[in-house]
Amino acid sequence: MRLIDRNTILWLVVVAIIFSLVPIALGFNAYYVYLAAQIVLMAIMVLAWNIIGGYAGQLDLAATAYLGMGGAVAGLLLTFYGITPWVGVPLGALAAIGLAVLVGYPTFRFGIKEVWYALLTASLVVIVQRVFWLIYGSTEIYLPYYEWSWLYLRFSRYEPLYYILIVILLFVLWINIVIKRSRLGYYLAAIREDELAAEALGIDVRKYKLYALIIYAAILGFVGGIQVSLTSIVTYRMFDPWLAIVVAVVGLIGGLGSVPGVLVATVVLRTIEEYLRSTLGAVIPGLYLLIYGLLIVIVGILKPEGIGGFIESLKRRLHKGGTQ
Amino acid sequence: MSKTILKVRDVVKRFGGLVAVNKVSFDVYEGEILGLIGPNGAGKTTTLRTIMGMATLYSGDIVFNGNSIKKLPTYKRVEIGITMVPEGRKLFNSLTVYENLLAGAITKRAREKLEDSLEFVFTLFPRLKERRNQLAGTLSGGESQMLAIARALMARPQVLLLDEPSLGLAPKIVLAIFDVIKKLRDEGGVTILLVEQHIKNSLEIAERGYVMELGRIVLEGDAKKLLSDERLKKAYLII
Amino acid sequence: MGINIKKVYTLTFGLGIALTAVAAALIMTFSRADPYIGLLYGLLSWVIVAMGGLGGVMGVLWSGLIIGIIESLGMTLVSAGARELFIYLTFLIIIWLRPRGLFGRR
Repeated sequence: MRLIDRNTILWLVVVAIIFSLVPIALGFNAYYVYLAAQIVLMAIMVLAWNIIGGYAGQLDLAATAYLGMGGAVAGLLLTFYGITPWVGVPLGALAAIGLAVLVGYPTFRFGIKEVWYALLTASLVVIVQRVFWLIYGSTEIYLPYYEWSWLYLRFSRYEPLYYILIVILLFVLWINIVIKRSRLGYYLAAIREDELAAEALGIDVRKYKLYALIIYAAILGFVGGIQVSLTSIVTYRMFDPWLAIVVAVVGLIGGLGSVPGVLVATVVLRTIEEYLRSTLGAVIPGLYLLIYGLLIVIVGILKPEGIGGFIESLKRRLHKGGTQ
Repeated sequence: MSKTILKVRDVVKRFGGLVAVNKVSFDVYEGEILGLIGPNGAGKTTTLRTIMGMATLYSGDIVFNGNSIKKLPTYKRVEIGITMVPEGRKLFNSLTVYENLLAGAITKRAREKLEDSLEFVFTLFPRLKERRNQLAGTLSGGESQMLAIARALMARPQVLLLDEPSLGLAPKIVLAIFDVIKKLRDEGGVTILLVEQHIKNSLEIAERGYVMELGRIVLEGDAKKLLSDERLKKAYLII
Repeated sequence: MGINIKKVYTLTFGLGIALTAVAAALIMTFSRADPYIGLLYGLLSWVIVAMGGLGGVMGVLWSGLIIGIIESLGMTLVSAGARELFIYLTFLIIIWLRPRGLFGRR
């Protein structure tokens, strides 16, 4: 298994360049760059979800529990103790991992799967949200303002954070690709395909599911800390159950386990969502939810491989054209 | 005198009020093919699953090479040398033949012998070698069964549990599969516990057989003797 | 076997939706309406059914009862906001102890 190969590097560089040019294309307009950053953030979240949902096949709806955990830890440490995010964000990731293990270990040990797993994870978000709410109430805790501080990762513009997110995105893309080709990837694929068969072969199903969960939670916890820098507030709304569900839905639409599919799906859908929200938002709130709902139904019925499936057929057709 | 490699002692398995396996006991001798036969719903598959640890015992014990394994989780049982080919094959359809085989070599022991195992398996099933890069989901019935068996063999088991390998296969292919099973015992030194509804074929290659009905063992003995047993013939009409 | 499966599914689904619509209309008389409350009630009903074990009236009955009691307990003992915390925490614990729900089939 090679950790990196020419093809992969090429694609990563292409992605990096395309995304890097975006703020320029948007004329460095603060509002648009903020949105772009949100979109990249979402891409990272869905790619992380891809590890537990796309590779391991577990319908996890707790993304925002881990995201919020990381954000809360990093944000609160910065605001109340002046601890730099360079320390706070990794601590946030650790906190998210802690939560994942705390809940994930018994969950997998008791063999909780499918719909019960989905509901359990959805419940987790609500539980964590309520706990936060009971401690801090509805207060919005504002992060300290710095005009341009790399130490505290607080800026008066959104561009620096945007590029930090790009770096994280490239890293997460790389992790996805590495896992897919590794032994862990095979085990997870086996678990996703047929858990009982995988078990009968000697795969320690619980252990590998937990590994996938930890990687996913770690990424989310980490990026949660960055998100807080972006939004500048820490509030109970960070633990949004809806967003966690949307992450899973987009992951499904993108196609289980398909990295390009997931990336395309996130960018396209999130962009459409923002567009709809800005134009028709006042008239029909939640219209984008309708679109997501429709899409998931279409994917479920017509094309279970999602957008990834389209990309695969495109690839095949391009190949055939070449040999002509 | 043959050594007992696997012992099933008074195993009871309940599903709520239903007793699926009712005080079943038998010994499996090293190097033999043991047939566990009977009609649908007799509890044969459940018995296999308790041996694998995929169904928890209500009472009783499973002893492997002299040690009780009833507390071991499934993956540990594979590590010590028991592997199962489940009913209906259960291949990983979106992976290739080769990848399925890789997935079968989980344990450290298996990974060390990976190349040897692959060679062994490809010699046994030349068709699989041809199709090594094909997606498992596109294989024919017979090829799927071969892959399922090959995949289990990658774990280098001492005892192989086969659950209804002939299910859904054409008669000619069934014969081919049974030929392979015989080869496994003869050349591979694998002990085989064969669960089947195909009474004639199984008893023809097995040394001994146990007949199960409604969760109990109702008949046991030498395979040849069972084949000519009047009660069996009457009950199953197949012979 | 003589049972038109598709028809039964469609009927059940339709009935379910119809009942939900009626319930929603009734709730609307004393609660607010926005596209987001679907999640609140949706998740709650799913949780109650799944906790009961996805299958019998008995399960859902017991489940609903337990949830209702815990909910009230939570509200009085701690505070109004704790209500959801208790409900979902209960769900978590019960599912850990009974991975297929209270009356689920193994």
